[in-house]
Amino acid sequence: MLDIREISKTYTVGGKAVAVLDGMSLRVGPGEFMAVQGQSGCGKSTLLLAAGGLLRPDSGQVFVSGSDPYELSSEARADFRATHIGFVFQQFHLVPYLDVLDNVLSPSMAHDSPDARPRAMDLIEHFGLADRIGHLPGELSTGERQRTALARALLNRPKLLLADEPTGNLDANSGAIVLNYMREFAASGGAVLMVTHDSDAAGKADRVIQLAKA
Amino acid sequence: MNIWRLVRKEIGYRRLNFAQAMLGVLVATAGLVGPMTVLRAYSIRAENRLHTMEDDYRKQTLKYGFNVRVIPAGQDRGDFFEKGYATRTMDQAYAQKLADSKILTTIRHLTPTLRRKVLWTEHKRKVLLVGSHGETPLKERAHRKKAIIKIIPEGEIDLGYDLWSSLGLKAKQEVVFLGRKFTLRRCQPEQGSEDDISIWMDLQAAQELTGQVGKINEIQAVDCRCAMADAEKIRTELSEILPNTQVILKVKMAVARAKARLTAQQVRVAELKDKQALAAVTAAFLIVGAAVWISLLAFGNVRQRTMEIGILRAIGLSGRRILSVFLVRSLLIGLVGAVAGVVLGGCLGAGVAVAWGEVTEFSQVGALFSPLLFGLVVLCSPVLSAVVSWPPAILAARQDPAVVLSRE
Repeated sequence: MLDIREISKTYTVGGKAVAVLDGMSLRVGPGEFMAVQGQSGCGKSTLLLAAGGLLRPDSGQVFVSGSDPYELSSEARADFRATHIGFVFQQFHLVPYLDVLDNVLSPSMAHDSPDARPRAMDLIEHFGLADRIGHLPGELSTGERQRTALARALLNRPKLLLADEPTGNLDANSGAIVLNYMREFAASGGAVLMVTHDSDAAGKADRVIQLAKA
Repeated sequence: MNIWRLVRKEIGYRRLNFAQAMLGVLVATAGLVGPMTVLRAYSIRAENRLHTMEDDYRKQTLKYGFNVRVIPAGQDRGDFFEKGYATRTMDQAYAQKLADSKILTTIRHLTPTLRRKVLWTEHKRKVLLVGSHGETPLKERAHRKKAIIKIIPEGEIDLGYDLWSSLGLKAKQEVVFLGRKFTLRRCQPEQGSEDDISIWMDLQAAQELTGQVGKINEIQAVDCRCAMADAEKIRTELSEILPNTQVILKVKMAVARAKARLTAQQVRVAELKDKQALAAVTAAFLIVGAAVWISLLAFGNVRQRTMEIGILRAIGLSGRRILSVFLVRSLLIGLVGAVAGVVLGGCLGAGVAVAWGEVTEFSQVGALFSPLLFGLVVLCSPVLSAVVSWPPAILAARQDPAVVLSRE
């Protein structure tokens, strides 16, 4: 599902080159839930962005469902992300002026399908947000926001879910609920790559890898 | 979910930003439409006045008859004024040459005439014989004016008041003049001038009776208002066409007054053009100001939505889609602001026009609104708004989602 081969990424900070990923490789197969842990600045988020087709590595290759998104044009890569990859972030990043339903439906602006609306309703129901469907993000609890973000990530039935500290802003209970949904996604055949500081969250994964500073 | 819904929801959420931008468009469009509506009212009134005065002047001119007299070049003016006609003659063909000229613009109603004081031997009376065969049609005049004098048919004459009244003559009566029989066509009313001792007849008959076949001593005409003719202009033009002639202009006080009023009104219309230019410059400044204002607000909007743009890119919206989100928004700002500005500017302009007395009847208000101006404003405002929002929209579309999301 996700195959990362020998990727490297170097940033220039204050005129100095800082390598954050140096020949990193990993594979996440269908049905697998993998967690990545490591110190701050070790390149966890860079890994996630590179895996999601958002940050081209300096070298190495990334394959999602057998395709290298960086081989595609910018427009095609955006469409590829819409159909193959779901993102969940620590800060949820919901669109503040869209209610729960519209936030969940927002990926359909990039890739519309006739069943987008029923699919969104199903996800909202599934994630226990039915009574919040018309609420704006500012009116939701943090757990509800993250569930909304998770529903949004899954609208277009992606094969790969990339989560960056998904429980970082949640209480234990809400965090557990979100992790259970992610496990559920993996159990249905999806691949999950989660970056986290939280050992409890990592403990829910099938496999945990520790990322050291390059 | 579509872009339109996203834009609509965003506008509803950030009403203040949208309202501020829309207000900028509204002020600019109202600033253009309002003064233009007032000036339109002013213009309509001024044009109407001008037409009325032109018509007055035309009527005054015609009322006093011919006011341009073209006579032979060598004619002594002293003799001319003493006798009331030119003692010298010129070829009758001069009138045709003048009428056929392609450059003639200053005079019209060309009437070749032969005037002579003769003794009416049958009654032993000195009379002024006036021979005319009516107006010579202008070749180059697209809209020829209706003739102001009627042709006197061959074999007929008109008599001035003193003549018919003192001789006891009546219309349709047979009259013998210098041995030739004529029918008295019309007995003219008293004029208190040399007309009262005049006999009018066909030019050819007059030429034959005075031994001046093929000759005339005057071409009577009327100066042409449409060409803003003045003495200098008429003389210059005639000297080119008929170098062997001179021009005498008759000026009546009433005509002079009408001409002064007309000139004043023409100055007023010219001033209107200056006012329109000033309004256009003011509107241009307002439009530039609004453009800068909209652009700054659009930059602010993009800055405010940095994270949102990042996440929309991450979930698959292309740069082109992001661009369209911002452009649709700016088009809406331009459209809504323009419609509101046109309505407000139109109403204010009409109100001012009524208050200033440029419009006196309710039925005239409709004429103040220019569909062309309103249409152009409503069409151009969204385009201009989109153009000035283009740089911030491009900035948004080019935002790197990785950079934005890394700030988390």
